Amino acid sequence: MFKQRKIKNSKNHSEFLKTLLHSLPKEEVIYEPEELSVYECDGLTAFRVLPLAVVIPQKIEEILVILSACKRFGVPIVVRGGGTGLSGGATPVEGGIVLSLSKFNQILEIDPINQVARVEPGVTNMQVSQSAAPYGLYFAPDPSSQIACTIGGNIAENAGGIHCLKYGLTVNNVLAIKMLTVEGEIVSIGNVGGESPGCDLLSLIVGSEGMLGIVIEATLRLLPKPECAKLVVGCFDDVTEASKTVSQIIASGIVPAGLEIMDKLVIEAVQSYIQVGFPTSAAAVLLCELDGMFEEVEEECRLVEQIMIQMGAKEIIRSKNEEERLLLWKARKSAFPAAGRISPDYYCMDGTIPRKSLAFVLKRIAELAAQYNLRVGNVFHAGDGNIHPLILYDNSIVGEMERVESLGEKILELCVEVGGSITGEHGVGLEKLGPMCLQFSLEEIQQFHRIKRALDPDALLNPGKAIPTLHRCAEFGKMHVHQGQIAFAGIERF
Amino acid sequence: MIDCPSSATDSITNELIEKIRRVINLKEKIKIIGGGTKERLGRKVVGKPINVSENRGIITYDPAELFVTVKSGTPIGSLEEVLKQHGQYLPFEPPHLGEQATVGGVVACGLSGPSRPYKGALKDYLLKVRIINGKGEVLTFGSQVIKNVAGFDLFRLMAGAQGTLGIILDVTFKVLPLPPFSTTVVLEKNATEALRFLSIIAAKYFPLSASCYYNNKLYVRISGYEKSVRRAEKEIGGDILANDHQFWNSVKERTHPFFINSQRLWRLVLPQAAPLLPMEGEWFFDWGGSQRWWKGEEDNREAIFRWARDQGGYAWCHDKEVTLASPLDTALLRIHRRLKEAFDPFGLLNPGRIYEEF
Repeated sequence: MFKQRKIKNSKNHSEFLKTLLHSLPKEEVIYEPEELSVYECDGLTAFRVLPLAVVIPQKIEEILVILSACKRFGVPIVVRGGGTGLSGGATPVEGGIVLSLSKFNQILEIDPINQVARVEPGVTNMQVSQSAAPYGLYFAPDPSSQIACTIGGNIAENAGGIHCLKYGLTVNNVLAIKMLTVEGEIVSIGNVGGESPGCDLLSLIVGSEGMLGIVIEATLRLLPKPECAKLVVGCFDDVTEASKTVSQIIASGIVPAGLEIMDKLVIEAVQSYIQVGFPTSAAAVLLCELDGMFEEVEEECRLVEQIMIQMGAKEIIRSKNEEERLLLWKARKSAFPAAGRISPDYYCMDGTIPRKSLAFVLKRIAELAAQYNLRVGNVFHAGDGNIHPLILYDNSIVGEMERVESLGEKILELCVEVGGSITGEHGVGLEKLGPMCLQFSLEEIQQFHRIKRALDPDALLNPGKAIPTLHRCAEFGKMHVHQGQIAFAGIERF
Repeated sequence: MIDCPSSATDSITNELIEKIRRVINLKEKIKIIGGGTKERLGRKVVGKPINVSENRGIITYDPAELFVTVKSGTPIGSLEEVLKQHGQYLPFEPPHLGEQATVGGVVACGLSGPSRPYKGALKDYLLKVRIINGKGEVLTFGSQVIKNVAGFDLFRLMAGAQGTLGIILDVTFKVLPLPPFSTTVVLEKNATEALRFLSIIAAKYFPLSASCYYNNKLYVRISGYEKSVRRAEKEIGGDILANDHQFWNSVKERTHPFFINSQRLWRLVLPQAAPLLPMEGEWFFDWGGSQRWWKGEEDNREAIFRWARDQGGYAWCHDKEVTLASPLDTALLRIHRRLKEAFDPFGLLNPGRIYEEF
């Protein structure tokens, strides 16, 4: 479906590089293989492609020059921010360049009157909140990699984090962007006032994985810092009880700032890593953060504790001060490195399910894990149903990786079966092109392709990511056949 | 949990789908009609009327899951009533603009009420939309969960597209618990003071849920737990407004005296702290100052569009029978045209509804 126009021979490669080197300062163009290898993957290291070149421009005019050269030679462009993505969204494309926006790293304005930050795409997520802090404001979306991930990357992936349940994803916190179209035009999309005429292009661009345009500036909504935040931790003997408690808390009318679950395997790993005082005898801990005005936090803590006890919590820990709250969160945030200590390798899945299906899905995952003879730990954003099963394995054992992939696919299939999604916050990238065929029909995928063609007719921007080709879906064996029509008739093949 | 029996869901929706497909196959232009309450919010559409208002009913509602899936022809008022019975609501407070207003019409017009700056817009509460595109294909985008980043967010694109990209069949909204307590304070302030004051209180963690300014009075609604609301009320100051529900409803539904008998009404969406406007006339500020309504004598439409754009905003001109939006610049217009072609290659769905060009 995508028209991939790869450069076919080295003569064109060298002509293209000559053009770049002629038009840009030498230090902005990287083309030696040993230097390129730094950029051969993002956070998903299983996929590695050496790009033709990496360009690191400093000015918008330079991006325009690069775009123009890429168009002329038909060279694909993969835009890269912090490279922390976990689905291969920033993996280079063969014969293409990586356009690093790391030098577009200025906070252009913090406007406390309108409560917005205007930033360049290379600014890290954490920097925005740090710059807004003197005004008592912050940027709510908080992906785990927020210390390193950039706003451009957040926008590309519609990144989430612990606080999404109450404060929304990136898409809910971006007010406007400036974007370069593939034709090299600058368009302003969105409005600080919150609404713009025409269709909501802003929501289309956020989460489009860099396939529809190049974001060169973003205006972000800043929120006032809550007066108070407290963490209530319930320790349960049964992961099902903990899962059902999640629904009970939400059903009671409380929307926590964060609601996370860690299961026994993860608790044990974390306890041996940082010792925060979680009982290792517990089958699951439920972490519930409540924030707001002092009065409401007090009221909600009381209600949450009451619900946890009713639902069978054997022990409850409530943070007494900010130091304790951060320590308890540290346990949650250490889950991944802790898992790395108990297994040579692990594969972190990302899918979303309705909250009511949590208990069923966790039970089913345990059954599947036993079937595949693999250990699976669970640590996830229970409040919004975004699960992150960690499949532990050893890559040095022949055939183990294949079993991991197969188990992972079964888990995502389960997510779709219960009405969820194959990806909650990591994106599709290269990793989940196959599972996209589980979630979407032939017609829906074709609609995605028509959107891609509408904004990037020659498929120069991050081609081959996020939306599978129909051919791929056919091979994946998940293509829907409508009313007995012959499968895949008339599908474009290449 | 409410579940519409699937056979009932299928028969009504399928009948509509077949009808729409027949019209699309004949390549006839289509004018989508719901409750007919928002005719004025766009340009005139010439086409075969397709009425979707019989496609009504709640498909799934599970209060503990905080979402509801509902057919597009469902009256928005009846949906809100069901949610209220379970202590929940649509936090973007959709303006109905008439008793017959439907869910599909509210989504298509992308309408959000007074709570918009504090609770989010309609698009922030959309989780899933099922549509028929201009090729007669039934497509579903989004899911019932709040975290879903698979594929492009084509469901949010339907909010405000006024039916130009697809005919909405059903919609899934995220819902939230109704705040347990709410009150409104009124403060005497001029427009400049009011805007400054709103910026100050919005930067504190007060549970604000609406604010507007009219005729030297600033109205601030606070919603949440009673203890928090009481403290915020005390710190913000002012007098308590009696019957505040009625007041905010009049703002939301544009039945406040300001909106009555207006032959031409301007709506400007601007950064909250944008300067006061240099036009003589009567002003009403909503959304903490971001949504500004104006009635005046100025006839130079282009000048007002330009002024709004210079402030980083946009404008809409509501004449008696039609609404015109700020013109799009060339590149944006091109993107819109291409999007239209991607969804509706033959240009059949509500042609020219927002802009003449698509």
